[in-house]
Amino acid sequence: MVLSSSLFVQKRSTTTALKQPKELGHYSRTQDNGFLVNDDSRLAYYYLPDTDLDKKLDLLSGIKKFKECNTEEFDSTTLHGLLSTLEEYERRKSKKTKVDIITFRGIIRKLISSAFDSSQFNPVNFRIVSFDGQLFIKEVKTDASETSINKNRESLQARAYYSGYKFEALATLSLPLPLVPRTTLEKRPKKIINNGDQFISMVRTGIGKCKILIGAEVDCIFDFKEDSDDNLKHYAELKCTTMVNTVSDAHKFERKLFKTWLQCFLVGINRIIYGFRDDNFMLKTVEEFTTSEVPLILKNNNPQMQTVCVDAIKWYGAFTEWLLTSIPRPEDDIDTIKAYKLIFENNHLKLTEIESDDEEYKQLVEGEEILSNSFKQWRKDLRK
Amino acid sequence: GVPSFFRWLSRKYPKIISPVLEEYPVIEDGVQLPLDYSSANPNGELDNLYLDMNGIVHPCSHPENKPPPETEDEMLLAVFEYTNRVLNMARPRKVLMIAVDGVAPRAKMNQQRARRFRSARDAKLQNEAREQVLREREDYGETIDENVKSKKTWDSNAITPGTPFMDKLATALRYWTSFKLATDPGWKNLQIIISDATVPGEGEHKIMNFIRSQRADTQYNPNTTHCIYGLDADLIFLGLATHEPHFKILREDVFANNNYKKPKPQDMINLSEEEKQQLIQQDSEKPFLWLHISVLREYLSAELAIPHLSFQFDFERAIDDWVFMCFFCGNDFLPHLPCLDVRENSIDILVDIWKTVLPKTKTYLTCDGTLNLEPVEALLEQLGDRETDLFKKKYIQEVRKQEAHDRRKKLKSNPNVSQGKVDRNFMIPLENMPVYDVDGNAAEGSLNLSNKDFANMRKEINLANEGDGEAAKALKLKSEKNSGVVEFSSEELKNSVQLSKTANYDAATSLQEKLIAKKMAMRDEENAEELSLKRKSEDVDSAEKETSNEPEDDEADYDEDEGSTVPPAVIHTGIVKSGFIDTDESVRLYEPGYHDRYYQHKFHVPAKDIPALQKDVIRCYVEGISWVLLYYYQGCASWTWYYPYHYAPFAQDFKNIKNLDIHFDLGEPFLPYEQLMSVLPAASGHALPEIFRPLMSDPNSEIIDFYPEEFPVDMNGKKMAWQGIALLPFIDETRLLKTVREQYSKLSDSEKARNVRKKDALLISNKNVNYDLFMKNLYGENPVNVIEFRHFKSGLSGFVTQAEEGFELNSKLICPINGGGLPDLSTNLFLKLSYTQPVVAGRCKSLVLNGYIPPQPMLTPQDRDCIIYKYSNRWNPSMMKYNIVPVGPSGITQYQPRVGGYRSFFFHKEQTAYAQQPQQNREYMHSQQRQPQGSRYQQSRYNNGNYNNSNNGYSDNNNGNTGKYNRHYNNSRGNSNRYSNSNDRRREFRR
Repeated sequence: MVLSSSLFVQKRSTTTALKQPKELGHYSRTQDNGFLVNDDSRLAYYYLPDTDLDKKLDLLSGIKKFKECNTEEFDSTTLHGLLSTLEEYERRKSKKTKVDIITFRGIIRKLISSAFDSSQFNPVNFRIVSFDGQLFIKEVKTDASETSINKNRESLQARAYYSGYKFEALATLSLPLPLVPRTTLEKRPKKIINNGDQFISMVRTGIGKCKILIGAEVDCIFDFKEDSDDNLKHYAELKCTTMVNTVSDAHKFERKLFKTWLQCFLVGINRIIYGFRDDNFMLKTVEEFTTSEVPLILKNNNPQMQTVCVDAIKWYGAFTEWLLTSIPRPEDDIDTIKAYKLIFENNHLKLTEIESDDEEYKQLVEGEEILSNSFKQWRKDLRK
Repeated sequence: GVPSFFRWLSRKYPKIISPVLEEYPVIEDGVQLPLDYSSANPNGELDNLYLDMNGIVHPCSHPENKPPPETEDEMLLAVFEYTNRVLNMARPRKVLMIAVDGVAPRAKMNQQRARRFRSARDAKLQNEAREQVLREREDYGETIDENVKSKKTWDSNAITPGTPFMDKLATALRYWTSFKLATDPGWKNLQIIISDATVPGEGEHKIMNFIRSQRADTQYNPNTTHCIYGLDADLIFLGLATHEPHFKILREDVFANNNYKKPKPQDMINLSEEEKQQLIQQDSEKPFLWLHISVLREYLSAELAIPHLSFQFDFERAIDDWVFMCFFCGNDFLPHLPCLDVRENSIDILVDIWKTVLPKTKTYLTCDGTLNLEPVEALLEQLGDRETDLFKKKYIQEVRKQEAHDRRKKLKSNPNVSQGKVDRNFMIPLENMPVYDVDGNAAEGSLNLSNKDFANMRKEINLANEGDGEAAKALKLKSEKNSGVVEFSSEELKNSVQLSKTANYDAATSLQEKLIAKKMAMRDEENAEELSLKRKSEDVDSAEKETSNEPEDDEADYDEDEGSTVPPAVIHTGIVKSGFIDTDESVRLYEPGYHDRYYQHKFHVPAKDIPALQKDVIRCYVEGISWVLLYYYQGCASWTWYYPYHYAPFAQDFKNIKNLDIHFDLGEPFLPYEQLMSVLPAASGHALPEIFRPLMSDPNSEIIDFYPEEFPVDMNGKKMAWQGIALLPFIDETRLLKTVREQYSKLSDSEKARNVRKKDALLISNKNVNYDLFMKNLYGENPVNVIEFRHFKSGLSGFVTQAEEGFELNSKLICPINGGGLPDLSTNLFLKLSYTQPVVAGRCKSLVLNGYIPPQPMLTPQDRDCIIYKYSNRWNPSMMKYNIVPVGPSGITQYQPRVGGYRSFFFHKEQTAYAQQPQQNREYMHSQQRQPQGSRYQQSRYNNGNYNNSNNGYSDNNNGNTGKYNRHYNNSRGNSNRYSNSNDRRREFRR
C-alpha cells in the first residue's frame, strides 16, 4: 500500500519547546562547486564602519562581472556536502548522530512559510528518503535558467539579486580585520563577486520531540571566531532591502523581517544586519537587529503580526511531528530506503510515497540524488 | 615633551577637559577608612588604566611643593600613596599597566642625555645655594641640625634604567600590586602588567605597543575604555594615534588656582614637623583632571572638515595628518622647524595650508604611520613661502612685547617719572656713567663700569677705597673687559654698516666680514633702532664669547674638503664651551640673508658648504619625521637611528624630498649600562657600577670626550632656561659600546643581573578567571612552556610563562620596604607570571574597529561653529569645573540613524511628533520600553549590563540625537549587544 498523507496548514501543535541549537561542524563550498569539509576558508568577517555609509556605495557596480556559480550542471540543492560533513563528524565521534531529520535550513523555512504564504510565492516541491531511521529532505532542483541572472542582467529582478551579494561583499572581509592589508580594504568596492563561495554550518536543533540536523549558509562572523566548534553566537545574517519611507514600506519590511527571523531562529543565529538601498541601488543606511527582539518589534509595530512568531513555532512543531509519524523509520533496517514526495497544495502539505515504477525512484533510492554512496557505506560500516 | 601644547589645546578646545570627581576617605572614630574600590566610579567605569610611571616617580622623589622624602624607602611609599590615589580615581576593572621607562631608542637618548647633564648641573648649583643659605642662617645664630646640613639634593638621574634605584622600584611595585591584589576585594579581577625599566622602550610607547597588540586580537572588544595617566602632552597624540575613541588622559590639574603659596626651596630646608605635614597635606589635595580624546576627536572633526572634496574624506586619516603636523611644532626626537612653535598658533597655520594642499594632492600626508612624501613636500613648500613673513611677524611681536614690558617697568619703578597716568615722557636713566673728557673720550684712569657693575662690585669699590690692591685690580679688569669690545677702527665700522644695510649675504660673503658686522651691530646699537631690544638681554660676557669665535671659524674654513659629497663637518657642540648663548641673535631671522647666517652660526660651516650641509640636514630631518611617525603608529622602526644635528632646517629647504628613499634598520636596544653610559654625566656616576666610573672622569679614558663638565646651552631664541638646547657632543655608538663592553667581565653577579633585557610581569589575584588555568599549567606538576590566552575571557590577551625572576606557591613574599607598616604576603593569594604581548600580524591600520559605538556627542552646534568659523572662544577655567563627559559607548548600535532605515523611520517620525506634542510622545516612548520575555538564546557573554535605567536619562535630554535613537533599539536591551558596556551607574550618579 502506498503511503499518502496530508496536513492542513492551520494545524498547530501545543509545543513551543525549541532545543538550543548547537553547531556540530561546517564546510565551505568553492566557486567551482567543490566541498571542503571542516574548512572555514569561505567564512567572511563583518566590517562596515558607520563612515562607509557616507561613501555612496553602489550596489550594482560590477554586475557585469558577476560570476554565477549555480550553473545548469550543478545541483545547488544537493545534500552531499552536508552529508560528508556529517560523516566526518560521526567518524570522529564513532557513532551515529541521533537526529530525526537531516536537511537544509531553506527547506524548513519554506515549510514554515507555507502556513503564511500561498504556494505561488512559496513553492514546495521536496523529496524525502527514509534511511537508517532518519529522514533526508532535499529540494528538487529547479530549472536554473529561469532564475539565472545570466539571462538578463538588466532586469530589476537580476539587479535585486545581485545587490544582495554585492552588499555582502561590501560589508565583509575574507579575513579578520587585523589580518587584512589596507589595500585590500580600499579595493573592496571593486572586488569581483560570485555566489559560489559559501560557508555552511551544520547545526543540531529541534522542536518538541523532533531532533533536526540543519545545514545553513552563514553570511559572516560578526565579532570574532572562537577555536571551538560552536560559533553560532558569533554569526550574523546579512540582508539588503529597499528603503523604508512610508508606513506601507514599514509593513512590507516587517514581513521581510519575519522571514529573516525564521531563517535565523531556526539555527540560532542571533544577529541580523539590514542594508537599505534606494531605487538606484545606492546603499543608504544599515541597521542592526537581534533575532530575539524581532518578535517584539513585530508585535509592537504591526497589529497583523501580533502572534505570527508563536504561530510559526507551533506550526513548525506540528508539521515535523506529522512527518515523523507519517513516515516509517525502521531503526534496525539499514538496507531499505524509501522515497517520498512532499508538496504544498490547497493549503495542505501533501506527502506521497514514490513507488519503484516512478521515473525518479531509481535516482532517489539507488542513485545519489539525495544520499551519496559514501554516506550510505559509512552508515553500513558503522553498524558492523 | 611638548609642555605648552597641553595649555594651547585646552584653551582652543575647552570641552576636552573635565574635572576628576574624587571621593575622600571617611574618618570614623579617628580612623581613616579606605575607599571602596569596587564601588561605582563617579567618573564613569573604566576597563584599562595605563600608568606612565615616570610621571609618578619624578614628582614623588623630588617634589616641587613639599619637602622631599628623606630616604628611598620613603620615596617608594610616596609612590605607592600617589599611585593608590590615581587608581581610586580611575578604578580600572580589567587591566592596569604600569610602565616605567626602559632603555630608549637612540633617537630619544640625545634628549635624555641633555636633560640629565643639565639636571646634574642644576643639582650642583642647588646644593651650593643650599649651603649658602645654611651658612647665612648659621651666621644669624640659627642652630641647624647636622642631619639637615649633610643632606644633599637627591640626584634624580637615578631614575634611569639600570640604576640600583630602578631595581628597587621594580621590586617595590611588584610587592605593592601583589599586596593590593591579595587584600583589596575591588582588585580581584584586575590584571596587572608591570613593565619595569628592564623592558626596553619608553613607558608611554610600551603602553602604545600594548594597546596595538590588544587591538590586533580578533577577540578585542572595540568599546574598551582606556585611560592613561601621565604628564606628557605627547600622550594626547598617542591617544589619538591608537584610534581607540573611548580614550582619556588623567593628569594633575595645571590650571588649578593654588589657594596657597608655593613654598620656595630654601624655605623648605629646616621645617618643623608640623609645617612639613601641612605642606604634605596641601600637596596631596592637588586636583586632577581628565582630558577626553573622544571630545577632542569631535572638535577635530569640525576643525579638519574640508567641504567639497573630490574624494572620500577619511576622518581617521585626517587625524593622523593632524598628529603629524603637530610633530612639526615640537617633539622629543627632533628640533622643531624654526618658523613653527606651539605657542604661536603654528598648528593653525599648518592646518590652513593642509586644507589647501589636500584637494590638490588627493591623498593624505600619512598612511598608517608612513609618510606620503609628495603631499608633505607640497605642504612644506607652502609653509616655506610664508616662512620669511613668519619670522618678521614674530620679531615685531617680540619687540612690541618687550617695549610694553619695559615701559610698564619703568613707569612703575622710576621715581623721576610723575605718577600721573598721562605723563609718558619719562627719562631713561643712564646705564653707564663713565667720566668723559671734553673730546668725548673716556677720562683717563676712569673706570668703564655700568651701574650694574657698580652695584655688584660695591664691596670691591669699598675695599679699593680703603686701599686694597686686589680689589682695585678686579675693578680695573672689569673695566677693561667692558671696553674690550670696542676695538674696531672707524674704517671697519663703516664697511660693516654698508654690508648690513645692503643686507643679502650670499654664499660668497666671507665669514670674517659678517663677524665684524655683527660686532659692529652690537657696538653701534644706538644707531640700529631695532636692536634696542637686544641690548637689554645681552650681557657683556656673551659679547666676549662672540669675539672668540673668530679664529676657530677660520679654522673650520680651511678644514673643509672642496666639493665632497660627504656632509661637511659640523661643530655640533658650538664654539663656546659653557654658559648660555643665543645663536638666534646673530642669525637675525627677521633680516634678509638669515638663511645662510642660520647654517653658518648654528652649524658652524663655511658658506660654500651650505648646500651640501642643507641637503644632508633635510634628508636626516625627513628620516626623522618618518621615524617619529612610525614610532607612534607601528612601534620603534630603529633602535639606533637618531637625528644627528642640534637644529632643524628651514621649511623652504625641503625640495625634491619625494624621491628620498627612507628605510630603517631595526637594530637592537642598548643594555641598561650602555644606556646609562650614554645619558649620564660624570657627576651621576654613582648610579653606575664602580668599574664604569673612571670611564667618565679619567682624562685618559677613551671616551672622556662624551662627558664634558661644561657645555654651552643655546637659547635658540627662547626665553626660559629649560627651553635652550644643550650643545653636547653626540655619542659615537661603536666607540662607546666597545669601551663599555670591555668592562662587562669585571662586573659582579648582582651588577650583571641589572644589565639585562626582561619581559613584562603579569600579576593576577587568585580570584581571576585565568588563575586556575595558569597556576595548574605553569606552577603545577607538569608545567608547560607557554600558555596563550585571548581577550574575550578576561579583557587581556597574550602569552604567559613562568615568572623569569621566579615565583613559588605556598611561600611568602617579604615586604621590601621599611617603615610603611606593610605586611609579608602569602604567595597563594596571587600569581606572578612573565607576560608577552600578542604578535601583531601586518601593519596596524588607522581605523575604528567593527562594533565601535560612539560616545554621546558633547559639542553643541555653537561649539562646532566656533571651530569652523574661527570665532574667538574665550577660555574660562570655570567652564571646565562643570564639564561632565560621559565615558564609553552611548547606546548599543554602531550606526547613526540615517533616512531610509526601518528604525530611523520611526525615529524621525517620532522626532517630528515630539516637537509638536511632547507630552504624548513621552508616554508613547514609555510604552515602548518593554523588556522581551524570556529570550530563547543566550547570545553574548558581554552581557554584563542592566540597561533598564539608562534610557530614562535620555527622556529629557534634548541635545543628544543618538541618545534618543537608542530607544529604537530598546527592545533588544535584554539580549544585549556584545559590544556595549554598562555605564548606567555613572548616569545615576549624575542624576
